[in-house]
Order: sequence, then C-alpha cells, then structure tokens
Amino acid sequence: MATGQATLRQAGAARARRRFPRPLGAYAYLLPASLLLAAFQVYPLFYGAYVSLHRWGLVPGEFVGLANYRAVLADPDFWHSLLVTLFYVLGTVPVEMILGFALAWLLFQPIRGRALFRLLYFLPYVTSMVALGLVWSWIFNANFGLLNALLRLLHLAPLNWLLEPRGILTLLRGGTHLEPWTGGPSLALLCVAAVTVWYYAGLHAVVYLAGLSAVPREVLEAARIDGAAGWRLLRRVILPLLSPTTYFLAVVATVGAFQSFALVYTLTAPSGGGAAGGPLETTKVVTLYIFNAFYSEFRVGYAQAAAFLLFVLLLGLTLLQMRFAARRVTYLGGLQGGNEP
Amino acid sequence: MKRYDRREFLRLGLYSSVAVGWLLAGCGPLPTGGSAHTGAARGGLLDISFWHGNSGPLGKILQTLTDRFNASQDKYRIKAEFVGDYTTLNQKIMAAVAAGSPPVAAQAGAYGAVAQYLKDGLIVPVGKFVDGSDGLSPDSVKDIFPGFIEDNTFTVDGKPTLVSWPFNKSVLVLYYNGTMLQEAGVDVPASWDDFVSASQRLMQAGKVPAGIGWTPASDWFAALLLQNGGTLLSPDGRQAAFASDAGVRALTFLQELYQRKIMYLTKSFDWQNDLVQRKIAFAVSTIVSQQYIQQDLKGAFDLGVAPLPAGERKATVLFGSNGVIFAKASPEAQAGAWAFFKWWAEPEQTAWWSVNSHYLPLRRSALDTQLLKGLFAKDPRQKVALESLDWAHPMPDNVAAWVRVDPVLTDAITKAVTGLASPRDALSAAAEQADAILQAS
Repeated sequence: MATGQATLRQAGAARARRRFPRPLGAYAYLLPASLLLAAFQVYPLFYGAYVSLHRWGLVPGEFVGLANYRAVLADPDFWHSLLVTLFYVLGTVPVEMILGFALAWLLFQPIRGRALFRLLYFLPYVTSMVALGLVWSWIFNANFGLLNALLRLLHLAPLNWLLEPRGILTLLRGGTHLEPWTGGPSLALLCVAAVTVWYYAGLHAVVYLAGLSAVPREVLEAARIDGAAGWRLLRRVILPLLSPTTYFLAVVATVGAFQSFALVYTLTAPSGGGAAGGPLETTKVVTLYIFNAFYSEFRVGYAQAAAFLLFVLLLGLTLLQMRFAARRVTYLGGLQGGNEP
Repeated sequence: MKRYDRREFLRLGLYSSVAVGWLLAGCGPLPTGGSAHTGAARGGLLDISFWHGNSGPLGKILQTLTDRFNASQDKYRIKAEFVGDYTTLNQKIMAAVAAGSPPVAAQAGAYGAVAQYLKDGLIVPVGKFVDGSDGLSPDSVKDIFPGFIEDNTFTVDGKPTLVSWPFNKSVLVLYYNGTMLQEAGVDVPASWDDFVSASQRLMQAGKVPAGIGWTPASDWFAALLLQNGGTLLSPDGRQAAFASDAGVRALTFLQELYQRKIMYLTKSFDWQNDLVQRKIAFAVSTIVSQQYIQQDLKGAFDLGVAPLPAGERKATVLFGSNGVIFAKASPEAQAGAWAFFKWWAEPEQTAWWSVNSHYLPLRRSALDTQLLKGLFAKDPRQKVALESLDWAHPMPDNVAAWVRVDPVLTDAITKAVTGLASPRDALSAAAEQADAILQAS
C-alpha cells in the first residue's frame, strides 16, 4: 500500500502528533471565538443571573432570591409590554417573510433592471436605523406630516399615527376608549411595525433569492416534465426546497423582533429624558420596559430579572420552532453537498 | 483534514491568544480612560475629572469657563469632558460606577439621578463642603436663588441636607413669535386667559393653524397646579397630591385647549420646528430651548421669551442639572471639585455663563454685574424671564421614586387631554398608582 520511505515519514509524523492529538488544532482555531463568546456572552449571562437575584440599584445590595422575578411577574406593565411585543412580532415577522418571498420571486424572474431593484429593496437595511426613524417620524407627523397631507388630498380625515394610543379595532369601530386586549394594537404600534417590515423585507428578499438560486435546475426540470407548473410547482417543489431558508428566517426574525429596540425607541422617543414607548405605553415593547427599568428607574436587579424572563421565553420559543421544523424542513442533502444544517 | 505538528500548533495558539488579547484590550475599559478619575497629580496640579452633558455651543461655553478656572489657581486642573446627553451621561456614570472608577465630579442631569446616587451612597453631600473651611458664608448661601437650594436639598438621616450643587439651571417660560404678535396687534399674554384670547385672535386672523403645540409632559401641568395652589406630592414625599381640585382644574384647562383646537399635541421636539415654521405662535419650554430655536430660526422672525403666564398666582418650574461629587474620589480631589463648584457659582462666572448659554444665573447678586446689566439693556425680555425665578419651584426629583411616578402622571395627562378619560378620573387613577410606588420605595 505504501513504500517503506513513506511509512517511515508517517511514523515520524505520528510521533509528533502523539502529544498533540489532531483535534487540538481545531480547538486552537476555535479558541479566539470561544474566548470572545465566553467574555462577552457567557460570562455576562451568568453575571446577569447573579445580579437578578439581588436587590441592586446602582451598587450591589443584599441577596433577595427570586423576589425580583416575582415582582416582575406581578407587574401588570410587564405583561402589557409582552402583549405589545406579541402584537409587534405577529405584525412584523409573517409580513416580512411573505413580502420578502414575493419580492424574491419577482426578482428571480428574468426581468430588466434586476440588479437595480435588488439594490433598491435592500437599501433600507443598510441605512442607519436612527436616521430612518427620524424620517418616518416626519412622514407620520400628526399635524403636518406627509401621510396626513395625502389623506387630506383624498378628502379623508387625518389620523394621529404615532400619537394614536387607541387600538386599531377600537378605531375601526369609532370607539373613544382604550381597550388594551380587545382593541388590538394601537395605531402607533402599527406604524412602528410597518416601518419595521419596510426595513427588513429587503433582507428577507435577498436571503430568499439566494435560496431560490440554489434550487437545482434538474429538480425543476424534472418537476416540469412530470407536469408541475405555476402554483403547483411553487407550492409542491420550490417552497419545500426553500424550507431551510424559511426556517432560518423565521427563527432569526422572531428572535430579532422580540429583541428589537432601536427603531421602536427612535420612533417613539419623547422630548427630554423621558421614557420611550408612548403614546400611553402602547408601543412599549419588552426591551423598552427593560431599558427603562435599568436606565431610567435605576432598578438594575429588577431589569436583569425581566431580561432573564425574556431570555427564557425566547429559548422556549426557539426550541418550539426547532421541534416544529424537524418535521417540516426538508434538506436537500443528497443532491447538493454542504446543504446540511 | 490538515494535521498539525508541534510547531504549527504552537504558532496557532500564539496567534489565537494575540488576537484575543488584542480584541479584549480594544473592547475593554471605557473610552474615557481610568487613572484620571480618582484625581491624578501631574506637574503639581491635581487633575479633577468632571463629566457633563452640554453639547455643541453649550459645551464650548462650559470649556471656556473651565479654562478660566484652571488659569485662576495652581492647585487643580479641571478636566471637563462631554460624555453625551443626560441619559447617556447617566448610563456612562452607571457603567463607571460598576467598573469601580467613577469621575471625581459630574452633572447629574437625568431625572432622579441625584436621589439614586445618594441612596446608593455614591456621592458626598456638598453641604459638607459648604460648611467646611473652604465653605460659603450664610449670606453667600442666601444670595443663591431659593428654588435652587430647595432643588438640591434632600433628607439625609432625617435632616435636610444640601446634597448637590446647582450647576446649569433653567426655568419653564413662554416662547412667542414676536413679529407675528406685533403685526396682529396682540399683546404678550400675562395670564392664561390672555393666552387663550391671543391664540384665538391669531388663529382667526389666519396667522397660524393653532396657538400652541405641546408634547405632553408633567412640567406644564405642574406649573399650572402650583399656580392653582396645589402640589405634586405631599410635603413628606410619601403620597401623591396632584389629584386635588387644583390638579383637576389644571388638567381641565389643558384638555380645553386641546378640545378647542388652540393646542395640538406633538412628539418629541417637533413643536420647535412648528414654531419656527409659523404653524404655532406660542410654546412652553425651558429657557435654554432658545439656543436651539434661534439656531433653526436664522433671524426669520423675532423670538420672544416671557415668564410663564399666571393663573391664580404666579408659579413656574425649574429644570437643568446639578453637580455631584463622588464619594470614591480622594478627599483632595473632592476639595478640588468643590473649589470648582464654588467658583462656578460666584457672581462674575455665573453671570458670564448665563449671558452666553441662556442658563440661569445662580445667585441674585449676579443680576448687578455689568455683564447681565448690559444684556438686560440690550434685550429687556431676558430680564423679564429671570424675574420668574422668584416664584420658581423644582420638580420633586429629590424623591427617589419620582422617576417612576412621573411617567404615570404624564400618561394621565395625555389620557385626559386627548379625551380618553376625564381629568378627575385620570388623576385619581394615577394618584393611586403613584401612592403604591411611593409607599413601596
């Protein structure tokens, strides 16, 4: 099988390897990233857990066990912020994904100026969120904004947009009261969700586009020969082949929406140093709730407890998505190497 | 897969460690550096770090004064450092405290920051220095406007104690479009009744779509409440007092302004643009806003500043930030910070600061300086605004839990103004919530 010389060389190499078994090389490569993760992710996680078990203003106080967690769970504002977050997630993630896929499908067709359209749809994603927030604030301006000017032009009644705390269902019914559960998300939250969708749809489109480009032509041709076309081709062949992409986007977008902060903050920031999340806390997503407890109310231990509860919630949600995905996601392992998760 | 011999392996390890070390160092401590915080001596001068939140033109004015202090003596060198707006400043202080290296002194601008720093034992009450060997005479203390002393006095061990030092202070005033008022022959309103009729006349004449734009906050309501003889909290700070008749009348007034379309609501600082673009004739804000409004106005019209119109009596509220000295600093550094604060409040300096920044002078005798007399001769309105200092009161941010009560009150105000609740119901519900917060803390 091998010549004597080669055997000798191998024996020498084996001697050198004996003290440093092969996988150590891989560990060396992993070391920098692991240390960074340990320093900036794992350590803060445990430290945060430690803080959350203490009465902690700006400086460490006494150990209080789970009192902070109990206080968070007993605070109706926390539950309200979770409801707001739920409205926000439901109003953004599915819309972003459907819109993103639709855009990707259109851009996948052999049309003129594809590159330009791709650029246009992706542009919001590479623009500063804070700058976008300010521009959209001006568009939504209740008194002199672009949207209300448009409504007036069409002889429609102007709306309060980002200043409207009433739920959209209440508004549709012409109601004048606040109904946090039955009134639906506030118009203000809907505005924030719309800007979020506008911001992320391009990103989703680009990821879907990559997925579409990776669908093997042979499979499509085979499907066509078997008589699949149009909607059936899309639904029975392409969408299942794209399921890893959909799964990836769903997980990332859901976690992202639960954690979104900058856009909501900019769109709802008050004057002075007050708390964002207005009007009447109807856009106060859970991250704003945590931020507020931490930086405005100086309740560090309490805020940590709230952040931990969010972490647990997200972890549970991601595990659920994984279980769901295990049955629904099709990986094209056999046809294309390197497509495994 | 690649295999590794010893040399390769060691080289990889070295690379990894260097890369990690470099990254950790790069992302390590606060950008402001550590050693100077606790007061480092250099060339015979003791460095005193002072963090502040005055950006742009205000920051330059602050730096000019700081340079003068440094030139005026040979013991200390104040290193003034802009670290971001009040919210960011507070975040940086929180981070620096957690890292164990707070500055020697800082502005405490965020709502309730002084109360929290005090509660956590992070600062030394400046009263200690006022009464100390390098202190202030009782006459000198009396010369400082009473609202500023009230604002910085906290209960420590059951005794009223001066904890922080007035630094950059402002007051709620009325802004108006002077050119528009003059053209329409409308007088500057001295009472709220005048304000309503002036707004209506300007609206009817087609000069503006509305009299005033306002972003709901507790400050204007508080001023109206004080004018009606009410207070926000009980004297001991343990109970909400704003749901009184005085409060209901104050909120009803604001609600009527909105319902009669004399006032519309804005978000953030949008009302500033609206005033500049002649969408409104009036605005209620702190006296320092003129820095920013003038910047946008570029002389398009004459911006007027007047004391807040009066209700049953005259009253307005104070804003701005106070200086604190951190307990972690060495006694020498603390003495240096105090020397700076004391110097800052002297008539010449506070007058110069006021003339240039539009913040308020800290003491009465500053009004007699050539600097302020010159300003009043040139622009009499500035004097008028300063006169409201005699009836200015602080917001209750010397009550630590006020940071949590204020948003509750602001929401109640928004609800009532926009007609989602009656003023009495909104205030009663907010008071109930506020009481729970105040009693739990």
